Amino acid sequence: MSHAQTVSIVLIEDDDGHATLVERNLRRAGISNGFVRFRDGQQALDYFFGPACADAPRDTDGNPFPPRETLENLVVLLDLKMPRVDGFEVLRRLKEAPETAAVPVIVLTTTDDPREIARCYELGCNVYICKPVEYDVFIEAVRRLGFFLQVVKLPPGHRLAPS
Amino acid sequence: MKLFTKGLLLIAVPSVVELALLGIVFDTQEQTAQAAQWVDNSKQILYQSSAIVDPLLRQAARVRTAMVTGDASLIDRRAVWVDLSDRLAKLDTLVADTPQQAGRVHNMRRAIDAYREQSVAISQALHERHSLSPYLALETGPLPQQVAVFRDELAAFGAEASRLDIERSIALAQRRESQQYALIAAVLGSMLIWAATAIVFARSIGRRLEVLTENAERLGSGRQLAAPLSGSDEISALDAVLHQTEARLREAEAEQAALKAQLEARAHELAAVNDELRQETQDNEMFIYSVSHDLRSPLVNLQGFSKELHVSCDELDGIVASAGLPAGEERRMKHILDGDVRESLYYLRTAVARAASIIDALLRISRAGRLEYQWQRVSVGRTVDRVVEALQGAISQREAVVTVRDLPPAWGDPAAVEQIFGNLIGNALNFLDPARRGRIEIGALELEPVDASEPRAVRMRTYYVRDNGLGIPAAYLSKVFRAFQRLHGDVASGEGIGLAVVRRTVERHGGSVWVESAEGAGSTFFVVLPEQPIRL
Repeated sequence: MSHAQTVSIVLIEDDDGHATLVERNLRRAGISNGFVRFRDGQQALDYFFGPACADAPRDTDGNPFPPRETLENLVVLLDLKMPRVDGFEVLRRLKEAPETAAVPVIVLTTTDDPREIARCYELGCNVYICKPVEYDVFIEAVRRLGFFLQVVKLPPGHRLAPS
Repeated sequence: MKLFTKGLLLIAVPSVVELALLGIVFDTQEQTAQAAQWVDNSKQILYQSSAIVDPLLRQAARVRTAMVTGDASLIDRRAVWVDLSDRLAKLDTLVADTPQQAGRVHNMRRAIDAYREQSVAISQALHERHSLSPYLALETGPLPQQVAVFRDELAAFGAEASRLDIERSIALAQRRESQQYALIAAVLGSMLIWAATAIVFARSIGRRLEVLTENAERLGSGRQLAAPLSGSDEISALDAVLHQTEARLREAEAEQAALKAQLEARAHELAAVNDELRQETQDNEMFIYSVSHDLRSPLVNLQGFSKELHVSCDELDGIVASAGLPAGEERRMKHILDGDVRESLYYLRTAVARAASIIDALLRISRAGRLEYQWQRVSVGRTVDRVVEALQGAISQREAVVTVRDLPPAWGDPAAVEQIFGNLIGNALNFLDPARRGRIEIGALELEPVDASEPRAVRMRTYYVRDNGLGIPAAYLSKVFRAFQRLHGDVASGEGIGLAVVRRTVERHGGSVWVESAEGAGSTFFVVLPEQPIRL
């Protein structure tokens, strides 16, 4: 589990309920990785590409986000429909920039529109999971996601280069 | 004037003139003939007058001889006198028209009569041997006195007759000349008259007929007609009719053009309204899509957290069981947890599941209208085979017999076509009558004749899915293609949107769908799809 310990999950989701459900079910499925959550695409972009300012960005509880350099291994869970900057834009920027292109991105959204799925894959998303409304199926999806997160192997020594 | 009258005039006027000319000719001819007769007459007079003198002279000679010889037999020749009398009578008839000459003839007769009496007296004297002396005195001259008188009269008569003869000959020559002139005038006049008639005919009928013919030709070729013909005959009447017809034609043309313009305007309007409707339908579908999509997000929370509550209830159960609470309190807590809370959660979760399926149905409907089609030639036969294969489980479970006939290809989106037949065949399976062996038949109708004159007409194929299932009551036939209409709610689950999706999909293909059904006997769904690319 050494790898799993180092893998942090970045959840970009505007709906608090969804974020809570995703985190709880991942935890219940036995995943204990670190969680970072952004409420919209703009926050996420600021975190990944913004200037390294003195006071690190904080989450709602006031806890400071872990610095970018410590997140050697990242997995991004990305919602598509968000205010300000949507998931497509975040995905595009992440896959565009060479330093973040290798970060696995799992699109987790309510949309099952084939065109949007196709667009996500075109933009370079690694996995697309449709948030099922039926809870059991959702848990199964998240479990599979957790399993995926546990087995994911990232190249050692890969660091997110400072901008 | 009527053509008949004109024709009559054209014949009558020259004929009258001809007749007049003929009359003149005949008149001059008659005059000439009379003149000729006169000439002939006078010649005869001359002849007779010259012939009459000789017998008289011979008689006078005989009388003298008789007187000399005393032989009376020389005088007694009555024939001479009869001959003379005849000749005088002939002359008398010949000169009856000229009283002067008649008078002369009369004088001559008297003279002869006197001489005859004298000669009779002489003869008597000779017979009776009387003295001839009283008569001798009378015979002393070269000619007896009466004969001399006769001769003088005859000479005067002859002179007058010659004069008349010359006069009449001249008159005859003049008449002959005038007759010639009259003939020439008649011939020339009739030629002129007929020429004039021909000109009048050409001007008043021939040329007008030409104009009429040209007008008719112009009318036929749609050109402007010449000015209306004047006059009041049948030709101008016909021309007036032609002009009326032209006016009517122009009117009709103008009307037609106006109607055409109107029709085009209407067509444009209709196209605009159609576009608007299509746009509106799309907007509606977009609206349904975004609303149902937005509703999904809270539903995820509702369902997720009701499950969380369920999990919490389980945990509470465990805590309550292990807490060792007093029996009464534990029972009350269990009652609340198992009864009220779990019951509430159950209803909550079924409601959420129902809402979720409705939203899913809405999404499916809106997607049927929004999905981008990959237009291509679709083998309907293979598509139906795939659908039947996918439904094989349900088919064998219901022990239904599915017959697939020859299915011609269609033009459309393969996935959409598959969805159409999937829905129809799935419906047919779902609503089979359990009381009898299910039979489902998929086929295509004969190709309908296409109006070849309409170049934009697209050949359409009509497919059908026929079953011997429960059938649809007539009252519900109009509703089957509407969304959320569920007729046999107890027989099959679903939101009742399958046929609505089929209709929307078929309409997007430019086709149509309808159903014929008899309750208790089965239903036949007809689907019309284009066979060639269609311009929507």
